[in-house]
Amino acid sequence: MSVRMRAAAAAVVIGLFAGACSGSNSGGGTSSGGSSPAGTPKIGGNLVMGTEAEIDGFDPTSNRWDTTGYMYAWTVYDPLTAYGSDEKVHPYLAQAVTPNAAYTQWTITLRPNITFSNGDPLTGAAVATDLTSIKAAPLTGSIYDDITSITATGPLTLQVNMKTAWVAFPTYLAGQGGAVFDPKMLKDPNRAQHPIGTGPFTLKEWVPGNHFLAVKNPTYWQKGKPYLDSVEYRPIIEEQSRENSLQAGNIQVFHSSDPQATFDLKGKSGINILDETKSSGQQVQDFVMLNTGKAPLNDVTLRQALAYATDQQKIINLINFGLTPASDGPFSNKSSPYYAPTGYPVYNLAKAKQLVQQYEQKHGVSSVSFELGTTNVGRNLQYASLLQDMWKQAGVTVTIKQVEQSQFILNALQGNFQAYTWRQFGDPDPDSEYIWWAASTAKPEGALSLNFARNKDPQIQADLDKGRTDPNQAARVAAYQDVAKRLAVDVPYLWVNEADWQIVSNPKVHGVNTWTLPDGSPGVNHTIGGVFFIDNVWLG
Amino acid sequence: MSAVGTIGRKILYLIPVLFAVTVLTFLLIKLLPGDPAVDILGPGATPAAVQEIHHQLGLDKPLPAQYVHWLGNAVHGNLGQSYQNNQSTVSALRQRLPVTIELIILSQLIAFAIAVPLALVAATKPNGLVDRLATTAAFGFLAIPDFILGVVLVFVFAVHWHVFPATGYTYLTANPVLNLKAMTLPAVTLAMASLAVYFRLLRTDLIATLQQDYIAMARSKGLSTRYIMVRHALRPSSFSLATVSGLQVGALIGGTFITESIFALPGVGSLAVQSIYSRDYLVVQGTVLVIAVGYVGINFVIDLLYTVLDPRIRRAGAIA
Repeated sequence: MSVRMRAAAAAVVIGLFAGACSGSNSGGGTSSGGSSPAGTPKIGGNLVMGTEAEIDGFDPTSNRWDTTGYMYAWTVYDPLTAYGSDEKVHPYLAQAVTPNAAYTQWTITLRPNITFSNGDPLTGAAVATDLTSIKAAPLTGSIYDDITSITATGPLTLQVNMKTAWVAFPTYLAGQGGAVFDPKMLKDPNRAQHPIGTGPFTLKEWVPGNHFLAVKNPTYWQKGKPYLDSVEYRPIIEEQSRENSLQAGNIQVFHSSDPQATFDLKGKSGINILDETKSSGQQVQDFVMLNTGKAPLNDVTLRQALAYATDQQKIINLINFGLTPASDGPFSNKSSPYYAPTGYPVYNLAKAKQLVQQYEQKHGVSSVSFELGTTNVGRNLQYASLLQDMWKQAGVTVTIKQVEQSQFILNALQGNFQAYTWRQFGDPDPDSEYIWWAASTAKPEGALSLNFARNKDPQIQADLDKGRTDPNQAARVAAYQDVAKRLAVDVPYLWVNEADWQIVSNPKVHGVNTWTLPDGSPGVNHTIGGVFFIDNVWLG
Repeated sequence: MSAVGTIGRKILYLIPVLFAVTVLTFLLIKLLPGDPAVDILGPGATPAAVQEIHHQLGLDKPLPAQYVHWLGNAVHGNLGQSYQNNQSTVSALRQRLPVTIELIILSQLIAFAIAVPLALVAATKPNGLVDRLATTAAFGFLAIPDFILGVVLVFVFAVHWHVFPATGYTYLTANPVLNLKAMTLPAVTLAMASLAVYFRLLRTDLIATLQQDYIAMARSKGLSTRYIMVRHALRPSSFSLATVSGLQVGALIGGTFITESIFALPGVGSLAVQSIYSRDYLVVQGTVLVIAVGYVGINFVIDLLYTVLDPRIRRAGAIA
């Protein structure tokens, strides 16, 4: 299996709560080849895309959308907002999303004359029902905890009231929390299989595990789109099989979060790779998560020792073919507006040994040991073994424990772990990370804690609150840069590398990263964690 | 005892076997780590919600009661539904079983179509050129795992020559030609190990049979070698082949897990793999149950076939 399971744990979580983007959100994106602008879009054609996984369904209130989930979803639904090339959210299905002066009340105005695929009109009441049901659902509700009420105020308007100022609220409308569906779906027990949206395509056939086929929506509100007549997604779980399928001409494009794809196909003729590690914006991070609420890792000296003992480049070279950039914080991409050098420890074995000795003297122990957990995937075991060896050289004994996936997440929630390999973060707006980093969401072992690392830093809490409530973007940027610096001091996470999403296609596929938003501004020039809007894609 | 009586007795033997299969399938899932309720609800699940799901799935009952509840549902064709996509397990199996059955049948047709004639030729002249070449090739095929052979075939016939698709599946009813194209490489991949086993086994049994007096008698009558091989030697040499082909079903089902994943075929094997990875407990349980019962059923049929192939067994049954 090529699926990076150490990531999957986090991917599920992000899909549940962050909502704003995707199962493993990321940003950035320049083309290292294809998917580049190439003249006027051509109308027609059928696109076949290989996806990393099958989805669990189309219900925005109960299904967990990861990268594939979002690809399917944005085929039949539209989000209320979407990201532009300026890395900011713009209205999409909404015509405007405007706050009051205090950012405690948002008004969403919808575009007129839009209908769902069953002919029902898009109204303020429909969207209010959608958002209310998303807020009420156990799976998705937590993203809207700060909302007190959602009310339709006119045929095309609705008002959302907040407990507190919420500057970044529109970013949440770009993800699962902003997927607009016909409220009639809520009465359908099989709604997960029968989506009714306003999206560019309508579902024709879905055979789970085999293919999902959607055909052009003839009444789509964005005139001239979609360009394709139909799109077919084929879940091809094996990375090698996706590569073979593209080379054999069975599919025209696939997405992958495994650097293996770039390693195997880079430079081959007739193949274009859009590699997000070479792009701007936020990136999903691979790291080791430390439980700061549990001995021995509740001592920052030991956590810092581990950071100094971790040779990031060696891991990148041996596990990721040298293709993923090293990371020094959650906003490690230097072109990210939130990037600033964090001061995160750089590999220094002598310093690591010194800190371990310091820890031993402080606690009166002759050795340090703890357990490193990872999921049941061979490649993750390699990764964990490499860390084990590195930390052993610093004088820390580590035993590796592979844990079943759902138990892995549950353990993280309950604090029943010491160190876990993990993949998370990378949302374009850092407010989406609030629940993971806030001291207010850190609970003691045994209690469910969304701040898995249980790092309680009052300065981080203050920065996160500022980022959520302060409308001044410069102040928000400064606050989040400070969060990254504090994380480098607290070391609840041992940063390793940026995760790598790639869109691999044949040269006929265009429009993945060059498109225009409904308001006329350029759309984000990269995928969001492997997700892109299929209505922009055309075949040359 | 009559033939009907023999069959009846074999069916009686089948009951405890099937009981054991269902118990083991049920317990197998119980032994797995993790909690289905957490998978269904996600990490934000509250203890009350977890309890509710436990109640809905009957997981709050004692184990024997859970088994009876589950078996009762299974007998009535209710194997639960996927928490991943809400599809009923029976519906998923109904959709995917034809793909796997087609794959297994095609692979066995290929295996028998090559192994039997090759064994007949090889056994005619043991240690001759054909025998040595075929034996060497058989050892080669036995040594190559499915996942290597599949990838090599894809590289040569799909990526390089573009003769067959690398992945994908077209239903037989939708387009038989595309269906056969899609199934060729997977079927060949799955067939090769069986082919080698069948060839080796039949060749050895044929050589032993050819030492029998009645074969010498046939030869002394001037019957042609081909006639002797096909009419007199093949049938008595095929008992081991029948036994192994039944047992081989288990290996073939295991092979479909890999082959269907490599070729992205929507069969039971890939369903099992995906369900295991996504911790879709009820689908895993239903799939394992169907596979296990199918395996027992096929071997039961093979067992009955002995009575057709070997009159001595019929007679022994009658005497008993």
